[in-house]
This record gives sequence, structure tokens and C-alpha cells, in this order.
Amino acid sequence: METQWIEEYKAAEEKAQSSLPFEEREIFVKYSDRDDVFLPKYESKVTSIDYENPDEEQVKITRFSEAMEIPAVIKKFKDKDKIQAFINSKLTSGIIITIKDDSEIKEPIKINSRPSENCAYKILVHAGKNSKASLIIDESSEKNIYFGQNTDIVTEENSDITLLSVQNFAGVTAKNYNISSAGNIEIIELLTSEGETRERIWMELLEHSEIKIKQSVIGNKDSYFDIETEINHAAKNTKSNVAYKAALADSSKSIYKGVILQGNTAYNSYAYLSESSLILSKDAKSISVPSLEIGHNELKAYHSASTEPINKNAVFYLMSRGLENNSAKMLITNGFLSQIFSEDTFGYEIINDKIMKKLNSMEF
Amino acid sequence: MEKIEFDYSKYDFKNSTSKYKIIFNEGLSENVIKAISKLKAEPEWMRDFRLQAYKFFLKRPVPKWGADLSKIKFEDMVYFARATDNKAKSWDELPEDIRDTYNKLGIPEAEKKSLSGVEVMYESEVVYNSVKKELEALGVIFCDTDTAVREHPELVKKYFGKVISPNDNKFAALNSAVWSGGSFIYVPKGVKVPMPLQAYFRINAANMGQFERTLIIADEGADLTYIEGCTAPVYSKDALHAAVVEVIAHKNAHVKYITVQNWSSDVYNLVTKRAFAYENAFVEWVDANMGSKVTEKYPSVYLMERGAKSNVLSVALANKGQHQDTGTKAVHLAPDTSSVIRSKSICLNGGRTTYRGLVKVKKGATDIKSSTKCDALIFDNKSRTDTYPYMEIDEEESSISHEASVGKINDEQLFYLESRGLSENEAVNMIVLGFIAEFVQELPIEFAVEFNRLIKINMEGSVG
Repeated sequence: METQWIEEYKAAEEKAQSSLPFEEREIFVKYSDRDDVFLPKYESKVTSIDYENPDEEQVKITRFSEAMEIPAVIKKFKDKDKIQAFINSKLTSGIIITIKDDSEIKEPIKINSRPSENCAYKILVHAGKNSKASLIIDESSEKNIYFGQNTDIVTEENSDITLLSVQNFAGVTAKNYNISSAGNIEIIELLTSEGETRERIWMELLEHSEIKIKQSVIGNKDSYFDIETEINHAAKNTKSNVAYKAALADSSKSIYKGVILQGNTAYNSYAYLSESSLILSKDAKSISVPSLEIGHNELKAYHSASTEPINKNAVFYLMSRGLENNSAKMLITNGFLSQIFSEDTFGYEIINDKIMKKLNSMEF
Repeated sequence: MEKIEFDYSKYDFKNSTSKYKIIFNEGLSENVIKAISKLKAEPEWMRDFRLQAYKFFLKRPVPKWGADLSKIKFEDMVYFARATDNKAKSWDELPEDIRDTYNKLGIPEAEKKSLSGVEVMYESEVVYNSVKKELEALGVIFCDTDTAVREHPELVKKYFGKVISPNDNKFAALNSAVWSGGSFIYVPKGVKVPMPLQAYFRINAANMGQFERTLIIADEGADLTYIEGCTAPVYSKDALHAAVVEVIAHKNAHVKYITVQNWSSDVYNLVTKRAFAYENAFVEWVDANMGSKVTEKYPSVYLMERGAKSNVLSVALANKGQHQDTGTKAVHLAPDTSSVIRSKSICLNGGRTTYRGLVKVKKGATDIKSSTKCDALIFDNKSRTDTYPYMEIDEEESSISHEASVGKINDEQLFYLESRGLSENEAVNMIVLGFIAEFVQELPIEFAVEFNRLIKINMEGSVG
């Protein structure tokens, strides 16, 4: 795929790494570790990304190798941390999705990836004015590989984008989102990896924009999740609603760091951040830091967090109705997760199917 | 009943420091520490403790995660000053200028009301100390920590520096090296102290670091309430206040520690406060931060044994130029322990408040209950409020919850009150006082009156 701009871009990113921190925010440094895992020395191999374009007239999908010059979306963002630059410097492939102004794409755009070797790729999305579209990104691998992905999204005024991402990796996953939105955007994400996962979402909300994030992790065995979300209310009349749920079994660990930034331009903005963890085993561990940084008074901001064990009375009740211990706990966990993935959630069947598969494979 | 006036003009006095008998030159070195220790005629173990702590102080970095502390010049501080050589036993014996200062602050009134023995801190040492006979009869020891080192060495040696090690953080290390004054309280087994014990602290000399060291020991089944109120005259140079407060609550004991911090707006208030709560003990921190330029204070409770409880209630107000970086730590080390944290903060005129709290549950500490609630009121778009609640949970059998909200004064409430004939200012005051009512209820009546006035003074000019 090596066209000239890619070569130059990768070289620049390689250089940029040295001046970037491993963790961007001072207050989270204490809770960001495993540098060696997420910044390994390795060779990335070319892997194919499969996609389905439901509407070739309104949506243009190009591979990096076909692009003659550096896409505009890339130039919009600066790297926030070392890992982002690291992944960019190792890029093996990438796709550019451009959704035209005033278009309405009924069927979802699908992206599938089943890498079998170390890889790093980039997804760029540009949604035009008044556009409406949905994306389903399904990524998994049973091999012990390093999977790096940077997704950059720019949405224009009055656009409406829904992004569903499901991922399940046995190895290491490092994923970053850079989003700048002037429209409505919803991110639904289910992470069920048994390996180590680090994810960052950097969100910039422009005037009259709104974001909803529903994130859920299911951890078993030694899975490790280091998830950080930063919502920057950069302009007035912005709204954000972030929900994170972690169900943690065996010796899994979840570190959740959420930041809501409402600076002195965030007039009339509204933010809600909630985090809750369900601890299913005595070796599971949960760390959460849902923070708020507020610099304006004409706004509302809330957050809540909770960590709880599975309700023994509920297990007892279900068992008295004839369920086995394992299935009783499975049912309760499913109920816990369905608080954010209700039946009217976009892609509910896919999520529910993945949740059930995962829960069935687990021992409680 | 005479009222305690709370008028800021009374802080605009400045006593001459030329009358001080001993003032050390600015700066810190091993020799200064040895000299302090010699002057106090301390035992060798205390001198060694100080010197060891000084080494930790040099090694430890200035914390960077919080407020900007880079402007603190440790080498420009005066580390020890003594106002009078001999301590006065009664009010009349105090030198006139010191008495004058306290009169302006209303100390005699507080005493007249016979709330308790007033231990007054002026400069680095306690100069006025009137412990009621009643306390002595109960076997309660209430004196300044320097006296305690001399008169109760066995108790001090057993507990001093055990809750907060000198290597805990840079400012605890500094305090351990140069500490002077502070309160020492020991309540024997089963004794319930009938009145709140109080101490007033004052900083007077410019550039004067104040490093009091408070140690409170509540033996099995003991019960006490301690109140500390801080005021300071306004100076142009930055002063540093790095206190260390250690509380030990033995089995079934109850300790309530109330602070009203109102240092002048040029003080760096970097305080380490920690309590150990043993079996079924109950520790309460009630903490108000109104003054100072920068406050970094996180009263914490280590729940060491089964059934221990903690309750932390705090209020922070940041006006122009102030940064109140406060919070709480609840560390659950044993099963069946519980913690409740309530935090209220108000920021206006460009002030900044930060809540930084930690709830930690260690492995093996089962059946934990912990709840945190933080509310922030923000008045304008120059001010800033941040909330960083850290939760580290290593144990399955624990229920932890956290909630926070940030917002401005409710317009509808304001409109309603104004429609009932209140001016905007009165209405704002009423809403703000309602916002912190939960806290004010915990204060003794004199403090509550004083505190409400303090809030009103701060709110002036916040609307319109």
C-alpha cells in the first residue's frame, strides 16, 4: 500500500513518539501501566480489512493504498499520546469512509477484521452535513497478536452517526478514537477480550452537538481493560451522556477513567457520566475515576459510580426457581449489562448474541 | 450573650515581630533542626526523628498532581519563632499585644462561654493554656505537644509518627523535621469528654511557616470532640502552613474532629490528617476550608479492624485567587467497615475547588459499605470546579457508590425567594446556606453563627 504520503506520515509519527507521554493526563498516570505490553517491539504485517458498502452512491470507501494524497481527516487531529503515534507509525492498512451531505444510509456500513498476525490500521470517517448513517465494526482474533487501531471521526452539522463496535481478542488490543463532532453521534461498544485492552476516546463536541456512549466490558480469566474517555464540551449547547459497565469475573481487572471537560465556553451544556462495576469473583479488581472539570456555571454536570458484588438474594431466588448457580449468575450479569443495551439499542441482536456467547463460555 | 463578631477588618492588624524573643534566620538545615530540638530540650529520640524526617524531606519531590506549589520557597521560610519565653498560666499574664490580638478574635468570649479549656496557639508555640480542672479530674490529658513530649514521653513515643510516617509525603516530612506546638490529647478508657475541646491557631509573622503537630489518642470506649479554628492576618508574602494531625481511635472509641480553616489569602495550607480506627471505632472529620491561597488537605481514615466506621463531611469555598484542593481517603483494611463521605464546594469570582478522594478496599475486607456524594456550586464562568474520585476495589464483597453533581444556583428557587420579597443577595445567601446546612448542623452554635457570617461575607458581590 506504500504510497508516498503514507511513508512520510509514518516516518513523522515515528519521530513524534519520543515527545509524547504514555499517559496524557497527569492525574491518571498512576493508573496507566503496562508500557511494555502496549508499546512492544514488533513487525506489523499487512492484514486485510473487509468492508460492505450498502450504498455506493452516497458512501465512498477507499483504501489508503488507493488514496493519492493525505486524507483531510488525518490532518484534523494531533496525537494525544505515545501509543497513538506508535500505531500510526506502524500502519499496515487503512480505510477512508466518506458519507455525502444530505444522505441517509439505511443499511449499516460493515467493517470486519479477523487478523492472524500483528497489525495496525486506521479508520477515517467523515460524515457530511445532514447525513445519517450507521457503522458496525466487528473485530476479533483468537491468536495472541498485537492489534492497534486508530479511528478518526469528523462529523458535520446536523449529522447523525451511530457506531457499533464489538471486539474480542486473545492478545493485546490498543485502540484510540479521535472524534470531532458537530452533530449527533452514538458509540456502542462491547469488549470481551481475554487479553489486554487499552482504549482511549477523545471527544470534542462542537456547537449543538450531542454524544452518547454506551460501553461495556466483560472480563474473565486474566483480562485487563484500561479504558479512558475524555469528553470536551468545546462549545455551547452541547450534551454528553456516557455510561460504562464492567462485569468482572476470575482475575480480570478494569480501570476506568472518565473525564468531562466543560470549559468557560461550555454555555448551556449538559453532561452525565456513569460507571458501574459488577464484581463476580474475589480476585477481580475494579478501579474507577469518573472525573469532572468544570469552568462555567450555566451548565449541568453529574456523575455516578458504583462497585458491587452479585446480589446473593437474587442468586438464591433464581436457584429456588430451579436454575443452577452458574445460569442464575449468568442471568443476573446479563440483566446488569442490559441496563445500557436495551432492546431498542442499535444492533441489539449482535450485542446480545456476543454477550450470551461470552457468558456461556465463562465459569462463575 | 455577647456575639462573636466576624468582620474582616479585624484581621488587618499586624503585630510587630520585633518583640519576639527568638526568631531563627530564614532557611533550613540540619543545624537549624538541632538548634530547635536543643531549645526545646527534647529527648534524643525526638531529635533523631526530626533529623531522619529532614532527610526524607530533601528526597521527596513537591507533588505536581494538584495545585501549583512551585512558588513555595522553602529556603525563605522562618522555621521557628517563639513569642514569649515563658508560658502564661492565666489570661492576664499574657503580653498586652498578644492579648490585644486575641481580643480582636473573640477568644475571651469563647472562654467566658466556658466551652472548654482553650488552648491558644500563637506563633509556633502554645502560650496560653487553660485546661479546665474538670478535664484533669477525668484523667484527660490536653496540652500542647511540646509539653507532652516532656511530661508524657511514654505515650508520645508510642504513637508519635505511627499514623503518618515522616516519609509519607514532602510536607509531612517537613513537619516532622521542624514541628512545633499543636495539641496533644489523651482520653483514657471509657471516658466521655463532656465538652468539645478547642484550640485557636494563629499565624502572625510574615513568611512564618507554621508546623503544628497534633496527636489525639482515644483509648477503648473513649469519646471526644475536638475543634480547631484557624484565622490569620493578611500579609503580602506567602506563608506556609504544613500541619500533621494524627488520630488514634481504639476499640469502641469515638473521635470527632472539627476544623474551620480560615487562613488569610496568602497562606499555603498543606495539611496531612489521618486517623486509624480500630474495632468498632467511629471517626468523624468535619472540615471547612474557607481561607488560604492554596489548600491541599485530604483527611483520611484507615479502617483497621472489624466494624470500624468513618464519616467525613467537608465544605470548601474558593473565592478570587483561591484554590481549595480537598477531599477524603477512606481505606478499608478490615471486614464490615463502612465509610460515608459528603463534600460540598462553592466557587466564585474565579476561585477554584477540586475534590480529590480515594475509596480503597483491600483484599480480604469483605462486606464493605461506602458511599460518597459530592456537590459543587459554581457561580460564574471564571471559576472552576473539578471532581476526581478514585475508587480502587480489590474485594468482591463490597458495595461502593459515588455520586457528584455540579451546577449553578437554581433559578427557580431564586425567583421564588425574590417573589416572596427577598433581595437577590438575601436569596442567594439563603440558598447557599441551605446548600451547606448539613455541615453547619455539625458545628457547635458559636461556630455555626461565625461560619454563617463567614459565608455571607464571601458571598458579597457574587450576584448582579
